[in-house]
Amino acid sequence: MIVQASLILWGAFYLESKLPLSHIVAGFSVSLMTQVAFTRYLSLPTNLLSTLNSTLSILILLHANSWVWIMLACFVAISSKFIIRYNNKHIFNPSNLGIVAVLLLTSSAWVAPGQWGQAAWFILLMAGLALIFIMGFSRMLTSISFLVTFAGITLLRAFWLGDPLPVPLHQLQNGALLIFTFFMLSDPMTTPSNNISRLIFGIWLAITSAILLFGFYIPNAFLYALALSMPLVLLLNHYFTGRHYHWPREYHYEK
Amino acid sequence: MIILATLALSPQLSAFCGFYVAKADTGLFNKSSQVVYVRDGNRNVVTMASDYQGKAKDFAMVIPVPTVLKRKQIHVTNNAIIKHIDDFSAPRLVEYHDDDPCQPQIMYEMAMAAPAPRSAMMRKKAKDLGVTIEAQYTIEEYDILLLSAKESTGLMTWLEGEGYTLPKGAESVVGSYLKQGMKFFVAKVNLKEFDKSGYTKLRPIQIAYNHSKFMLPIRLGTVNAQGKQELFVYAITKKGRVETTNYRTVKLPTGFDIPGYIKEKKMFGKFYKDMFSTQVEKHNNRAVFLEYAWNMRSCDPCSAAPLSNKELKELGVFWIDPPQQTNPSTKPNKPNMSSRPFMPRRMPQQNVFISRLHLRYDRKSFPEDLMFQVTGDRSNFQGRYVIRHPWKGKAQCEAGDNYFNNELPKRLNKTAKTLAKLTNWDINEIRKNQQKVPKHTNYNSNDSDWIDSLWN
Repeated sequence: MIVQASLILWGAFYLESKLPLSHIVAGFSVSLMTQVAFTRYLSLPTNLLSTLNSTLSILILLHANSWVWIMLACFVAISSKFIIRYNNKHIFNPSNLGIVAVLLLTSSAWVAPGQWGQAAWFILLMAGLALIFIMGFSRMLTSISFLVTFAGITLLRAFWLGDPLPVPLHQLQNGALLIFTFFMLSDPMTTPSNNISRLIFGIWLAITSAILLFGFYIPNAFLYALALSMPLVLLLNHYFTGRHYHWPREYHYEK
Repeated sequence: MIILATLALSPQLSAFCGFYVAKADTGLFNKSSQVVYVRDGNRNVVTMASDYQGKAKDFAMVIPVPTVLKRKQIHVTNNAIIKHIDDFSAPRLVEYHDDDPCQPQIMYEMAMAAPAPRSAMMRKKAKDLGVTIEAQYTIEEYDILLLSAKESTGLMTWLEGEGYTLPKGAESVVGSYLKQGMKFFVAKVNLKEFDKSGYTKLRPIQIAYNHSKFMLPIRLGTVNAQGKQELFVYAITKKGRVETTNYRTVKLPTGFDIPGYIKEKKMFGKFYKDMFSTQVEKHNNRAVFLEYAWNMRSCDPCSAAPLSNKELKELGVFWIDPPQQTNPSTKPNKPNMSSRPFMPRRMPQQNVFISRLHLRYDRKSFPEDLMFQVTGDRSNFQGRYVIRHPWKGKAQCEAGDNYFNNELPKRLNKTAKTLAKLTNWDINEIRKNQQKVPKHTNYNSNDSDWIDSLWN
């Protein structure tokens, strides 16, 4: 979360991509209100950590003409945790679902995969690696298997096409790809609950993303790939049962 | 009084998504090109204009295209329309004159008109090499071939056999496009038709097709290029601004006050070029610059009149209503419009949003083709630079003293610093060229008036 907040600040000052204050206010207020309303209604204790996390992800990735779309994305994200559930666990990655829903609903909102440029790439990679160190290899296994597989596919494709190395390297040096990999895919609640499943899920996501990106020329393919693939997590969890993740003690509870 | 004047700027630097190949080895290389890309859904209309200066007989262009194009999908348009869209979207210089510091300000505007902006054997041979001539047309002054091939070596051999000199290193790039299922569009000038047409300059070629790929192939253009090339993309959509998805799109610095002498002959052009170069370097040669984003129905200030519906239709904006002859408000001879051609104005067109993107590229800094997306961003943006001319009259009042002794020198210093920062020009040189502060005698020059009023 600290990394996400600093990304916003860094984006604003260094990349000159200013995030309107109205988006920040709208995003946080709707997320927090939705979270509080649902937890009160369901008599669950309020877990604000995950809420702030999802909101920051939305604010970092989603651009919109109006704060209304940010509000909607946040509302979809947070409410999906309480509404779309199976086996006492929410199914969709909240911020991913919020963003994809708004992208599909309106042309007034968009994700700018090019905005981070290459300067950001190295710093993001370092932040990602640091996250692996902090969170542990096992927790970040989906991210790792996704990134390794996606890089592999991109390099093999370039090799098959006869493209020189700078071409696939440039495709991989994409800030949005790394933000997705390390800060969205690392969500503990919606990634599969054991190592084999995480490994398979990461590989599956990379293949789906590559098909959408290289076959159908869809920008931000990985966001759609994740939303489409979430039901797979249920299947994987069913076949390879593992322990569920719990947010740190003081925040405890599953929501 | 505020006098508003705009100077349109037509960039002389201006690249190609294909590459020029010489029929004879005349050492051609790409310099710059302009592309108008009209996109909505999967519909694409691409107009390609080059600044080709060589002989017409030596011109040839090879562009990868996603599908085989039928005759009706290819069109040739005129250069004037490209010039118009360039002038309309170019960075602009706005000029203001300071008011008399001693007079209460009456705000009214006056527009100053700115200076006018200025066959069977072939097929068999092809087949033997694994090359298929999918189509062959003569359209206006161009002979056009659409080729598909099993592999790049065959295509290269065939093109060379036909007299096209191909740059070294093009083969792997051609191979990559072929494997991605792309076809090759080859155009050369039909000299007979060219002579008949009476044109002296090659005209832009347009292609229209359905495809989900929103991209411009720039890689072939970097194979034979000597040094960097310039590319201007005028993207026209229904929904909003266009940006690159695999490179950063950044806005050109805008809204700065700059010294008055930039208005002098050719200085604004030099300013724009040097500012652009400075920005390119600042962003490590890897950014695409947004220079203009606006709904086509208005402009403020206008560096040229907005494009007419007829022109937009010619460029491929298929969703607008037919030409507007019936609409009196856009008739060029309407008195109040023709006398004030560069004032803010509104046109009746709806949902035509233009983005002007400018990049300087080579193989190293732009290894991949340009991929685009349409965003929902409809906010206006323009490259706009302001000149404020000092008050030249006398100002015998205290406010006048403050204006001449304090405000003005500070402002001149600030504009000099801004200019130096934007263009990387030498600040001493700028100061030398900068307009001197007009002569002013202080209102209280005998230095006694203050005593008169001291205890009164």
